[in-house]
Amino acid sequence: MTTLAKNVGANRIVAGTKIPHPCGDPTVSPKRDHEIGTKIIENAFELLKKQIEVPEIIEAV
Amino acid sequence: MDLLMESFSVKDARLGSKTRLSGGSLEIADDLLRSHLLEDPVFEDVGIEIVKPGEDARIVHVIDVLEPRIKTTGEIAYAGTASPVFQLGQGTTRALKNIAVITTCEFPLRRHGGLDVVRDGLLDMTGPAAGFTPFSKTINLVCSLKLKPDLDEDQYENAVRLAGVKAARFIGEAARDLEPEQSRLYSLAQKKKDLPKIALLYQVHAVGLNLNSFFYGMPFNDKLPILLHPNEILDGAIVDGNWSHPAVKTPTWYHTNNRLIDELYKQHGENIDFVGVVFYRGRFEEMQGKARCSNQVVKSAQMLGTEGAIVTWEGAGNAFIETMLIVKGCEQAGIKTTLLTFEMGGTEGVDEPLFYSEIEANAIVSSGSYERPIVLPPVSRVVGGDKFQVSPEVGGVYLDAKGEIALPDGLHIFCAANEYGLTSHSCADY
Repeated sequence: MTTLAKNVGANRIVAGTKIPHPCGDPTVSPKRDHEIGTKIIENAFELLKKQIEVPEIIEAV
Repeated sequence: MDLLMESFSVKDARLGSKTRLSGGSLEIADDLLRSHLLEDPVFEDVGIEIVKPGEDARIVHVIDVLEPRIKTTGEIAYAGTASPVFQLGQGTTRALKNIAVITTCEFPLRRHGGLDVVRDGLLDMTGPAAGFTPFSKTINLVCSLKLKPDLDEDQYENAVRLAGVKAARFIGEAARDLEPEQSRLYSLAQKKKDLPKIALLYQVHAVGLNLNSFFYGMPFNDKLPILLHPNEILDGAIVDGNWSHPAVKTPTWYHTNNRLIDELYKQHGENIDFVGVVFYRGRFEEMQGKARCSNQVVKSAQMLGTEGAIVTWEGAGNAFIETMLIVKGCEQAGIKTTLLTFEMGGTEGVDEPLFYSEIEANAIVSSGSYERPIVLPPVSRVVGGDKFQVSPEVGGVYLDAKGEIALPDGLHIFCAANEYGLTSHSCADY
């Protein structure tokens, strides 16, 4: 859904898993679900730490 | 693949001992219909009532609306649903006009919130909401389905969908041995050279339980775009299974009476060459899926030689992203598009009308906004139940179905924001 975020003017965009579950994947084991969610949040923190000049997107894990 | 549609006009209807149509007067053997529907062990009880145009009446817990139909050339109407599969869109079909089968059912609220809970829908025969659908003008045979408790949600979903089709076939039988009053041949055979090639890009809502569309009885939720003959849609190949979003659903009746297809046929061979329908679901759950689907729809249109495409959709949210990506893809491929959609715009009509758009969408027909508050007046008669449920996300708030109902938007009004254009609503710029 990064296109939608870009269209409304977001500057720091992290792609999540899927619309019904953006920060994880309930179809895999709880351990992997947790790993996926953690990676997405870490990506978000990385972007927040950065000084950016143009909108930046980190695509899906 | 030519389809001969023979139609029979119903001027009044009553419940009685046999199912027969004579001189426009339809008698319905309601006891037999009731026993037939009760063959499904999921139902505890079935009520059969007639609601007529002009009545000060409200129908609640609306599920689907279907046209009574039969085939006289060996196939079965709505084939694939509670029946073997036959190729539809050819042979001869008989339809009863001016009468609709409406199924109603109160589903137990098993879960709060979630995208696929069953939401209550209402249909008013008079008053400010009457113009949202054609059904305030049809004689409605309402089958109120009562579910046995403690069964699974998918059993409920399946049972109510099959019941509508069975009832539509049952009533359709009244036309079997009569002389047709009117007949119309739907054929794409006549072609003139050099007419612009027009395709219909036809999106349905097909996501999963309670939010699905069925293709010859097959749930369409994990399927990719396919090419359809328009006759298949007119002949009942698509049966609705969307019980979750009453405002934006497409009842089976809207598919079989699709006015866009009807109009495209009228123009075919004269002003346009109607090349076919690309049928697909939207609302894929990530951009990969949306891109894959949209590309396939655009590619299919290109392979048909399409020069102009009419784009319709079904849904209220991210299903629209596929729609817009398809408009963009078509325009970039040199296919001109016209998009038909409801708009949002908020309570005052000054907010963004569409939550997503691409710059290539430059020809849009609006079917009005569903974000306006509306107050529905009290009615003398209510059919389908006593209570009307709103806010399932918070556990359900139950209103008196006969009383005044104030709604913040059209979400709970049956087909209030239907994107196929079968509405009396539009927009005006001022």
